[in-house]
Amino acid sequence: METRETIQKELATIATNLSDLPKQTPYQAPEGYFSGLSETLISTAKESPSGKVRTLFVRLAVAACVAGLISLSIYIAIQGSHSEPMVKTEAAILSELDTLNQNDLIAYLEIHAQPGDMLTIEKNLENTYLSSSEQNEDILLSELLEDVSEQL
Amino acid sequence: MLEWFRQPETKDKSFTLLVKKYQEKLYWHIRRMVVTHENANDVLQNMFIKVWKGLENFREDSQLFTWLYRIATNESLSFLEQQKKKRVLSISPEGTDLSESIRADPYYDPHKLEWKLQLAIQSLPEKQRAVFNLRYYDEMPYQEMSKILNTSEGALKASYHHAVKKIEDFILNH
Repeated sequence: METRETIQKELATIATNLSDLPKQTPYQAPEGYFSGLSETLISTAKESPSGKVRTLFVRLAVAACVAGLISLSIYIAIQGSHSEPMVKTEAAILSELDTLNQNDLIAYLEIHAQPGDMLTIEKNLENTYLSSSEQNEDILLSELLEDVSEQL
Repeated sequence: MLEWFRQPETKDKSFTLLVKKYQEKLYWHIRRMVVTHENANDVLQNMFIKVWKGLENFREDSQLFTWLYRIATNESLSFLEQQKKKRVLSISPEGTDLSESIRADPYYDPHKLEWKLQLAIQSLPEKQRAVFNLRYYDEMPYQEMSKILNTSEGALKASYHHAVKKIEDFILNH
């Protein structure tokens, strides 16, 4: 067990100046403060609410709230990671359109189409027709050339 | 004393004895931590309320003295923490700097070394201040301090060593 001397020696080895100082606290307590303190403390302690149950209840309530918030944020984070992004790219929209059934599209247009839509549909159909006829021409030309080469 | 406290008819008497036996040592320990008498009185009252409530269930695996010092130290540290928060949020004008409180003490004398030492002690971080005070003023063995502050003896030795060096530097340079 350490003694007062060993503690003092330790201080002297670290800082000689400090070990030479008198160990006196310069603060003062009001006169007579300690004489009536025990009575004051007993009455204060008796008056104070037990607080034990309340503290436990408050702690449990806070713990439940924190746990709830953590689970909610985890749930939102998981949902967010699985769900698709809010803004779709043009490529994503086109690929989705490709998967649509043509009959469904026609049925939808029959119900929901506006008079103005017909012009857009017609224009698109023309484009499709033109592009397909151009393709057919290319095929026919290559076939003809093939035939000519065979004949030669 | 503990047996008396557990009996309703001798409870008050035993508590009075306990307070009388330890009040001064604990008051000065708290006062050195929180500086002003008003703050020390508040912390001491809170501390003894906790003692009153917890003494019945006090497990005698540690000394009563150690247990009381632990409560006093923890109460002082939480009080200082609250004061620090108040200072940051500027909610209350009470939250003044501890060195200002030392200088505002009616007995403060800037030429006296013991006051300079108090200013140096207040410049330490709170826990290191507790380590220094327990070792320097209360001349407490590291083994006891370890139970009070819940820190290893090696860490306490290192902390005290650093505290003494910092205080020496402060006194030499101020």
